[in-house]
Parts: sequence; structure tokens; C-alpha cells
Amino acid sequence: MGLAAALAHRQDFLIQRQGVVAGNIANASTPNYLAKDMTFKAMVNQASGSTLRPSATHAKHIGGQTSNTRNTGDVVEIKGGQTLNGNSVVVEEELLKMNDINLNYGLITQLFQSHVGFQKIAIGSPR
Amino acid sequence: MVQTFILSFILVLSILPQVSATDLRGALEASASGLRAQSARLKMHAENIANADSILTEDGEAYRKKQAIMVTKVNRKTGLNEVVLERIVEDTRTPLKQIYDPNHPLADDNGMLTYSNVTTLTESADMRRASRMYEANMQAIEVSKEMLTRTVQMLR
Repeated sequence: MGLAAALAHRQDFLIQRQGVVAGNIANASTPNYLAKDMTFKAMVNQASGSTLRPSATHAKHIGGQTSNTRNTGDVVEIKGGQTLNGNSVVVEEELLKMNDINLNYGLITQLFQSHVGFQKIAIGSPR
Repeated sequence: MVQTFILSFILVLSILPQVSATDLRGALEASASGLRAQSARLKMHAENIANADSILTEDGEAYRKKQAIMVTKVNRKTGLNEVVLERIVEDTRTPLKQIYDPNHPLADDNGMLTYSNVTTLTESADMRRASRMYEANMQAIEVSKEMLTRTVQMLR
């Protein structure tokens, strides 16, 4: 089950990053908005399963919401390169990021499908 | 035969990564908020351009350029940064345009007519930007949708 878990971890990360990038694009013309990105966190042994821990997604948050999604990465703010209104989103860059996410996601799903294929061969069922 | 098929199906279900589809839906929601805000802005710029030649009437005020205030709003459910067009304010800093036209029935004693403070050129530039942003959000929705489809196809 190791591979499937690793793939799921990566997939979770990609989905979360997609959300962050979508947020960046939505906020591309919001004054004083700093672009955000996620850094991938290598999978650590999370045998306990879901971690119910409040995550603050905004500087003004107290506690934040509790989520049972696995912690796959940290959200970092991209400082520098701000325009006059304090916005640091470069839409072209975000679209490239999104393309990268999409490609990686395709890779993960392909890998998973071939993984399932192997399992099917092992139990001898027709494909 | 049937048994192996059912067995393989159960196997697929059991090792299928526990993807939370709500996250992708969150990305879709964020993009949708962008679409909403940008289309409202587009509408506002269109209004400005339409009123670029409005003049000061005796009883009323001349049209003042409208400006959108966009703010980031964190969606409590998804934890993602959404955007919302908080309010639309009138531009009271830019002076209204004064044009000399003594024959106009609405001209004042000095023969001046007061026009709105809209600059059509900047309005159309802003409008183009808003429409580009709209397209970018559309693209984001497209990608999220594709990812969602791929997730569903993993079951095949």
C-alpha cells in the first residue's frame, strides 16, 4: 500500500496547490495581495491518519478552521516584484504553474492506473 | 470470473487514494469568485465609458467615474483566498472636465460646460485588463475541471 499512499500524498499536494494558484489568479488585481505558493513536504510517517489541527490561512486568523486533510506542504508568500498597488501576482507565471500542476496530476493518475493494472495481473482478473 | 471481477473492483476501491474532491471544488469556487468580481468590474467600466460624455445638469451632479475596491476574502470552508468586489466608490479626487461651449443650453454664466471626469482611454485599458483576468480565471476553471475528470477516470 506504500506506493498508493505516496501517490495520494502527492495528489493531495497538487490539489491544494491548484487551489492556492486559483486563489492567486482570482486575486490578480487585488491591491496589497501577495502571491502564494506551496512547498512540497516529503511524506512523513502519518500512521495516525487524519490530523485535526487548526490551520491559519490568513494573518488575521485566530485558530482557523479544522481540516482533516493531510498536511502536504506549507503555503509561502512570494514577496518582491510587487506592482505599485502592492500586488505580487504575475498571471502568466500562475498559468504556467497551473499547467505544471496539471501535467504532474496526469502523471500521478497514470502511475496509479498502472499500479492498479499490476495488482489486477497479480489476482489474475481480465483487464 | 465474476468473483475475480468483483475482487478487483474492491481492490481498486480500497487502494484508491483518498482524494478530497472538496479541495478541487474549493479551487473552482476561488476561480468563480474571480469571475464574479471581474465581470462586476467589467460592467462598472462599461458604465463609466457609457457616461463619459454626461454633463452637469441644473438639478443634478455630473457623472463621476466609478472605481472598484477589490479585497481578498478567505473562504472559511476551503481556506483559500477568494476575491470579492467589496464596493464601488466614486472618484471625487479627479476634477470634472470643463469645456467652453457658450451656445449650449446648459452652459453656465461663463459659457463653461461641466463634463464627467471619465477618461475613456484608461477606462478601455482597465476594461481590457478585467476581461483578460476573466479569461485567466476561466482557464483556471478549465484546469481544475480537467483534474477532477482525471480523478474520476482513475476508477476505470
